[in-house]
Amino acid sequence: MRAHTAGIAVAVAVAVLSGTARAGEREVLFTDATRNAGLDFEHWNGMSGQLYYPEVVGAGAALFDYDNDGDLDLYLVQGSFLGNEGDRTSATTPWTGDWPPRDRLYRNDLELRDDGAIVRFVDVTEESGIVAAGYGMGVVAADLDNDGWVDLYVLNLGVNQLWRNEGDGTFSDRTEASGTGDPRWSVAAAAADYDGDLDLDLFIVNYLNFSLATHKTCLTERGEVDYCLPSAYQPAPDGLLVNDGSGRFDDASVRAGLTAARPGNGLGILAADLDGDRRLDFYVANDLMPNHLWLNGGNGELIEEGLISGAALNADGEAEASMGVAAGDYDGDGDLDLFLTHFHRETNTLYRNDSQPGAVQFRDRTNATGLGRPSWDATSFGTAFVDIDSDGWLDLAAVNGAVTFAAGRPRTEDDPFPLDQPNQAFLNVAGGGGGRRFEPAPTGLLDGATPFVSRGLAAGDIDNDGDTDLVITNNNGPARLLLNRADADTGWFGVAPVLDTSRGRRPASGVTVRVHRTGATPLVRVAGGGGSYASWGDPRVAVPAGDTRVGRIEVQWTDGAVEEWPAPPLRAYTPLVRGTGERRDEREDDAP
Amino acid sequence: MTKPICLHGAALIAALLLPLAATGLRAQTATPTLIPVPEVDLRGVDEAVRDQIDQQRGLLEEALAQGTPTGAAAEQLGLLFGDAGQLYLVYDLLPAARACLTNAAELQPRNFRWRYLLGSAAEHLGELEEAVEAYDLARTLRPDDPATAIRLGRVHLELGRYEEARGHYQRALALPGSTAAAHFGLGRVAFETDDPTTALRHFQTALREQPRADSLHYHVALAHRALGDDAAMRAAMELRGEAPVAFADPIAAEIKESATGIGAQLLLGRVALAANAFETAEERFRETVRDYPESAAAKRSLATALEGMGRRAEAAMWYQEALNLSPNDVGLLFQTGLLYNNEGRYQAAAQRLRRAVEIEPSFGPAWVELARSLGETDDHLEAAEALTRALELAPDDRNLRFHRAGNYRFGGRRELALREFEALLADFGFDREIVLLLGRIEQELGRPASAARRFEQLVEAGADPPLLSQAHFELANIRTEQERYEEAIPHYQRAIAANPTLKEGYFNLGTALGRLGQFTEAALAARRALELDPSDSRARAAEVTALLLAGEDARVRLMLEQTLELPDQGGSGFFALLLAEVLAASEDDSVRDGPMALNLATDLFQRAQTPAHGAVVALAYAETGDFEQAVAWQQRLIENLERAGATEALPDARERLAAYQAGRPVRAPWRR
Repeated sequence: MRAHTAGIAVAVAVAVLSGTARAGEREVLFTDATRNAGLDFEHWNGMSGQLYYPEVVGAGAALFDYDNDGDLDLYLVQGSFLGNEGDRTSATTPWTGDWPPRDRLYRNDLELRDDGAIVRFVDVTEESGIVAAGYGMGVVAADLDNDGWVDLYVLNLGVNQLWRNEGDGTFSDRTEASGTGDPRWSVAAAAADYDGDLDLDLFIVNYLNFSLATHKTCLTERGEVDYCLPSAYQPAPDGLLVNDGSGRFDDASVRAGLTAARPGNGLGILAADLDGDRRLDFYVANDLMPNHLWLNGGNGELIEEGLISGAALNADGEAEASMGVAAGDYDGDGDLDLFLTHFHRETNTLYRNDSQPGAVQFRDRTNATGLGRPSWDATSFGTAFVDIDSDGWLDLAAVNGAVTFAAGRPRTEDDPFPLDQPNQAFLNVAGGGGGRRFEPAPTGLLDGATPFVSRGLAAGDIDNDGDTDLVITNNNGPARLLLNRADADTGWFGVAPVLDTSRGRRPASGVTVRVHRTGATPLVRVAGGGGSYASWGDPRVAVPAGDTRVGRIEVQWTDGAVEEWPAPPLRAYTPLVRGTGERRDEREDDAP
Repeated sequence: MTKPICLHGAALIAALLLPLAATGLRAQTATPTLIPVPEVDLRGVDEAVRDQIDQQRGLLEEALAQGTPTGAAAEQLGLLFGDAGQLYLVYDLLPAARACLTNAAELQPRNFRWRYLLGSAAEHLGELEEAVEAYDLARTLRPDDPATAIRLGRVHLELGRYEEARGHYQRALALPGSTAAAHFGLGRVAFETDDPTTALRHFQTALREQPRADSLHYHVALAHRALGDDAAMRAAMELRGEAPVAFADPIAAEIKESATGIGAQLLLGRVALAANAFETAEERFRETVRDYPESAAAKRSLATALEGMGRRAEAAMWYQEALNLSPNDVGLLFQTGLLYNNEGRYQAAAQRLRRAVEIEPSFGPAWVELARSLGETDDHLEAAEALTRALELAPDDRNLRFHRAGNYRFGGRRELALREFEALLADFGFDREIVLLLGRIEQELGRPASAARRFEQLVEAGADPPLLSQAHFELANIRTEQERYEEAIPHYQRAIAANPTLKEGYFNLGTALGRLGQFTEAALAARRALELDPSDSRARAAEVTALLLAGEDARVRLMLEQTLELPDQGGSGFFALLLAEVLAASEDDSVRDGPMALNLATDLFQRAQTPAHGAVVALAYAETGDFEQAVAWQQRLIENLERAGATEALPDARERLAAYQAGRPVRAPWRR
């Protein structure tokens, strides 16, 4: 039985109320804690009126524990000015900070009190030594050199950067040494163990072959000058960099078979075992081109089976403008389903995982689950399966913002970037395809007073209270922190799958966590592995304890090993260190 | 900045509360309410596009500024809203398109096109419930339209209403041009409801129906995958292409066409047309026809312009040219039928209109025009049947019921007509025109008493002079037929008083007066009829006859001589024979002239050897004193009458023979 109790008393909002909604008997609420937490990041896209394509694409964020103090810190990616630097004063919205604009690192000085946690983000960029001044897009936070400290890999329009965490609060630029300086227009990447050697490789998603020299002026059907659609440019091939274990990477794109597939306009990626064969697969969201499902052959080969699996095109057989992607077991059947965010006048799309052993298979269940119509008007980017109301069922969050004036509003001198759209949340309720459907939460739940041109969404338990909070990045606007106040009334427990603790902590990425419960189907969650758009979320997993007894926790590692632990203590994150659990290579079904 | 079209003012909204136009279908008695069109911001829009939109909304604003339109003006406003909606749709200005199309549909509720496009606009806006509503209404107007069925199926599918979607796709299976799309839809429904076996069957059938839609291979492949047939899945996936499943959707195609150059050209022509600048419109449309010779819309528009200038024959030719390209375009068939009706080419009109209603049985105005064609060719019962079909769409339409009753009457179904007219009185209250018609039908049914009661009812109720005049006239005729001349005469007089130009009233009054022996007054009444129509030989004959009976022989001789000098207006033979008779048999010595009578009579007899002519020759011989010839002619006349069995004329003929044998001429035989 899933937890289902009467409405809970909501904690007094300590910040500006963002929004509330009711899901069944359970009230959900986010508070906008941006200002109170000291989060003062403003993204700047450097737009100059030329409508350079990268301006409208936007950047993401990463939630990660850079100082190993047990809470989530925040990295935010910044834009820049396109064109001659000397012309930057001609930007439509002037840059008011120190030149050049840089990505920012915020340390979370979380204060735990009896009456609740207080989140304080402190900008530690200067002391961190990070100088990320490229035209930034996305970011990955993972321990790439196996030293127990989480590093940063920043995706840029231009050369990507690898910032090595030195373990003392500082980072050093290891781009060149690591061989990760992909010069193409990269937007997102997944740091995950593709070859089962327990270090993290990098699958880099590249977007388009854009440069100022190839910039085009695009017109709408009404003849208005507008931002281009991706079809105006050639897609840039993706790349796979394999980690040698020391933080040095080799390009394995050809060897792994990436070049066998037609390149896509990639914007989003996640890593997870999608076909249930205990090997890590990759799913790439391509903009207006068929999405790619890279199934792991286990021999170093990745096989693209997007079309064959039914996960590349929607139910109409059409490629959609995919921006963000999320994986989660929305219907509680034990496998990972996929949710894709799209352009306006396309629906977001939910692919239910109907795979059988040896035959991966996804079916578009957008219509049946009620997710079609509500997303029709929106251009959605960042997304995540999030248990917003702590009822044990994965809900969905999608952050929105148009990419063309035609889909937004005509620009004016006073409003040069009128692409804002309300963000959306969809609550998972009984009924519909797979026995579940989604109901839109009231508009404003994820917006506060003003919608922005939202792009990135990083989900994680920022205040360590067992529910999922959100960081939303906005193109040419402020980053926002939304704290979830819908605490699980029956308690919660958290786990942090960790590869190694001999030197610091090495969070796993893309591992599958199964929470076995008495009298209920297991809860299945993915720890790490990326997803969303250009963003990186919490590598830990928290689930509500509910009113069923938790028997054991199972982690399926990226080399195929499966280990079990007994139920962890409530209201805390318990590290599950590889090699410390009971080995269970054959999965057993729970008795009801 | 361009001035946006913005109907926000309360006054303007009030002005938009329009009564429904008279299309012949007046089922919608409620006043339609129009909605404001959202502001369209055209900053940054290409000048050519902005000009198009500006022109279109200029037309709308002009039409709206003229106040509350009725009848044809409301129809025109509906068209303007529809055209504007289409234009906004072409340029993806969906909220404005939706508002315009909503108004167009409100003003022209039987126009399938607006409902369909409204559904399309709503669908593009993601307003799926609204799209369903619009498509459902479109479906009631054109139940067999394949595109509507497919779109309804699709929208329900997107709403996750699989049973409804299945129903619409099943319906589409039987419709021309949509079989493949229907199978595709049914396959989608089956696949989404976890029935891959059925899905596979439908996808494969769709592919057989439309092999070029190679995107279907993808769906075939997924169905194979779901059924666990990996080899078949891979084989199908290899064949996958990009060509989607197509279905017959002419309106969507036209909208797509409008997004290209032809749309702009047609719009310029329509702007001129709306401003009654027909020559400019003709010039624009001729250019369009030259540039797009395969465009039915261009040829149809040219025909419309030509028709506006009254060049109907040319218009008919271009309508036919358009029909050759688009033979199932019901709007075009209707327009062509309407033109032919207006030209009096009713059979040609009926042919087009029949086709229109075959394709779109819910096209009410086409049924009405068809009824008109049929009525004009005396196919009254078929016309009544067409009006019955129109009435199925608009059951409360009084005009349709009225015309149907009229067609029943002229088709010989007078009892049915009687019942229909009486039902109209019961449903809509007392109506003088209907009472008059009821009286006439009662007369035609041989029920003078009932007829008279109807007319008396009308007279008592009072009416406008023309109707009152007709009531009195009909009543007088009944009394005349009943030989109740004293009662007839005052009704004729009142009929004439109410309508002084009622020639028949004067004529019949003269007849009634004559029956009462009031010959001088009768002659005067006949004279009034003759004054109203100097060519009416019947009235002239009535006048001279009355004068003869009044003893005005000299005046009659003069009138007849003058009449015979006039160009022949008909009846000259009669008047000549009468003159011969007057010259031969008048009691007035100064009038008689035997030789002249004999010359005239024998001359007339050479041309027409009738008993009447023979009798006048005998009269003339007697007047000249040649009784031997008079007897001989009279005896031949009697022999002929006996052979012809005209026994009623024999006594008078024998009496005259006796007179001639006695050497006596006959005087004033007309008094007998």
